[in-house]
Amino acid sequence: MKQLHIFLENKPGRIERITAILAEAEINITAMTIQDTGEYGLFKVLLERPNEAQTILSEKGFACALKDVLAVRVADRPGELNRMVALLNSKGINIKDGHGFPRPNNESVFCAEVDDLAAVERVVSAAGYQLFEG
Amino acid sequence: MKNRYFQKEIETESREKLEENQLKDLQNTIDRALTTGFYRKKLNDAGITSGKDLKKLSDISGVPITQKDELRSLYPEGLKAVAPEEIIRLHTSSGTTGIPTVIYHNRNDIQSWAELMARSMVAAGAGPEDVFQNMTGYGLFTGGLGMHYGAEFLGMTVIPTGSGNSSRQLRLMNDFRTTIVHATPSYLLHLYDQLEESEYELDDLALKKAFLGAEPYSESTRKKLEALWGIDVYNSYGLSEMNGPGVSFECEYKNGMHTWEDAFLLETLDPENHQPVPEGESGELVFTTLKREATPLLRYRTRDISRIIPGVCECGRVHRRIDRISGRTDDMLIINGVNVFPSQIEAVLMKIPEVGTNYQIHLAKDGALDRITVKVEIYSKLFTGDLGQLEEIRSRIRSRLHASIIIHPRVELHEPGSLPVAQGKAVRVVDERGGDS
Repeated sequence: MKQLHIFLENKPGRIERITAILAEAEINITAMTIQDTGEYGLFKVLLERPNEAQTILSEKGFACALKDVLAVRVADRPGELNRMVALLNSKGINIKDGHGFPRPNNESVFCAEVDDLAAVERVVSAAGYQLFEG
Repeated sequence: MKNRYFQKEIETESREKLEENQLKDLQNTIDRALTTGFYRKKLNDAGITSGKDLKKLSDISGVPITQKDELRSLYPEGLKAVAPEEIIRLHTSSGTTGIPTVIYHNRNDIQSWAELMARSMVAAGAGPEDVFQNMTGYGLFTGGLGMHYGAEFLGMTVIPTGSGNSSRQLRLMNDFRTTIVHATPSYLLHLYDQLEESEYELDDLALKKAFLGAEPYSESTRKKLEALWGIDVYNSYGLSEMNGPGVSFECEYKNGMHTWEDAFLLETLDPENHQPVPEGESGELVFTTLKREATPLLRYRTRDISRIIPGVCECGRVHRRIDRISGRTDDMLIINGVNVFPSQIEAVLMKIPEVGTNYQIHLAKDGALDRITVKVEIYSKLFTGDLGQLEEIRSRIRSRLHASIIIHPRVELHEPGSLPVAQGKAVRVVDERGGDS
């Protein structure tokens, strides 16, 4: 799954600049998270038409990059996130950053930045999980 | 006030006698300079083939100006007007844009520098009974060794602490009854804060005087330091190309810095056309060495702006006084005593591909010390989307700036296109340190 990472200074109004541009382009945002350091941070969004979104934001002068991230569908009930994380941990897979969001029909999506994504996707698929395709 | 002199005859001789000696020494200096390929060409091009071509002091106007860039272009060979085996020391400048200037000294040069320093310190009231703690860096920085040799020559007890380590400085000041310190103004302010937090009491210290230099500071900062410490503070002026400290120094009347005119021919010139400005008006300080043997310099442009204070000082010294340095004819910044050109910072940034070409240098006070922040823009095309990359860029900029110009800046990352676009160099620098110097 492609996630768009946008570099932003930590000051009022910056996120709105991004969401306004995406709104105007009628690109739907599925989920988002912010990784902050105090002075600056990354606005990370899962969205429709990620390539187009990146092109539009780059043209507007933003520093942004598309990252391939793990996005896995998990059941929305107690213990499921633990089961997923335990699986990754058992294979020595480190989660650099992550977030999650609920979906209809008692389902959630667990989204994580990991090294060697292809290998990690094979691990979760082999364990019976389905990848989220957007 | 009882006036003390170190070399009374030289310090108080008549103007006429001083100028007579200056002309003789100027002619000798021209002859020495003519033994170097660099000055032979320059002087011959100006029609000068012997020191005797200068008949009177004002004939100096026919001698070509020497620029810092010319000295840089001679590095590392530099200018040697004596045999190599005669040279006993060299100092280099901190190295603007990477290439420093080099000044050589023979035994006489080191001795006469020590004399000028000793003369300066006695003018400010120092004597052999004093205990002198030298709180500036030793090594290539001329302030350390320059002051040290002068203080020893004068006969003070010298404590060569060097810079930093405030708790040890305070301990030595206390234990050895230090009466005079040499420091940068910002360090002496900083040390006062440290004193208040330390086990030592100001009343227990024996401190009487401070010699301050290496960075500009205002009269109000002087007054503040004098009030805080309960001492007399004296200004000094120097530059590495003119040995270092010991070019100009305040006497006990603290009304301008006496420039030792037997050793340096002083001119104040219009920085644009190099014509002399009337005495008392601001101009660029331009010096010619009159005594230095190993590396003579003719009409060297300091880039420092000041003025000659008209009239004779109450102390009786004939050597004219210059006012505080009021500015520079270039964009050099002085940050905690370190000379920095924006172009040096720019040169470092331009080698970091992940940041854009627009940048800003921000200067502010953090307590007594200067704080420099370098603001850069992330270059979109090389952005990978990782926080780790951003931290790595920051620390790379920091370490490269430290390696090349010995400053520890904060580095701020900004969005592309968010910093003001510089129309000229000045816009790149935002100096909010205040002060009227």
